[in-house]
Amino acid sequence: MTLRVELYGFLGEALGRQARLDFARRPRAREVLQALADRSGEAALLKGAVLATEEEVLGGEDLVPLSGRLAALPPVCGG
Amino acid sequence: MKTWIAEEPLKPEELQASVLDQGHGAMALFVGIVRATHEGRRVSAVSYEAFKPLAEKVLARIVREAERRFGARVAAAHRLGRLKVGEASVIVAAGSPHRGEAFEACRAAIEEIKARLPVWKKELYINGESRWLKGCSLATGHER
Repeated sequence: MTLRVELYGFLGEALGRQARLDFARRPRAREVLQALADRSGEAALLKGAVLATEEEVLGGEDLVPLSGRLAALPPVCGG
Repeated sequence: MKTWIAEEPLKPEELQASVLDQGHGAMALFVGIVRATHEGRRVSAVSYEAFKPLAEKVLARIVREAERRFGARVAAAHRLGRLKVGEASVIVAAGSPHRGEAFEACRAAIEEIKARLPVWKKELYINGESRWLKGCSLATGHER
């Protein structure tokens, strides 16, 4: 399956605003983040990052949903 | 309760109006403002971006939590886009019967916004350089 992941903050600037990732089966959130790290060649970039849907932040072991937007979020800095 | 995340300039009076109640004797207002210097560097502007659908839900959750915890009425708004020095980036208003709860609800909400809202800030400097500011990881599980 192919996933489209949006990237925000410095992740978006470093890796592009969107990534398309292919998986042999439905992946867990940590596997999607690992795929982004592998693709970038800079694992440190993903330190502290999480995967999120429009509703919630996913835990590392959560299976990614089959529909809806998916985003990789670096540490937040609002205010 | 009222929350919003928008590109348009924030209006403190709208937030204040949304927490008014005849039973309230106190209102606290926090306004976060883009400053001209940070860590010795001269700032020309700050650019904010958000994962908006989640940010809207998280902001509503934060406001609900502050209202329940302190028995106050709370409103909050966060600005997105490029802001000049002196512009408001975030506003929290809290109204309650007495001042203690208003101050505490306002303080609690802004601290949670800084720790949990999926928003990112890039400082732009007078010399043409820029940098993303460090933040708080959402891996703590608050939004799960």
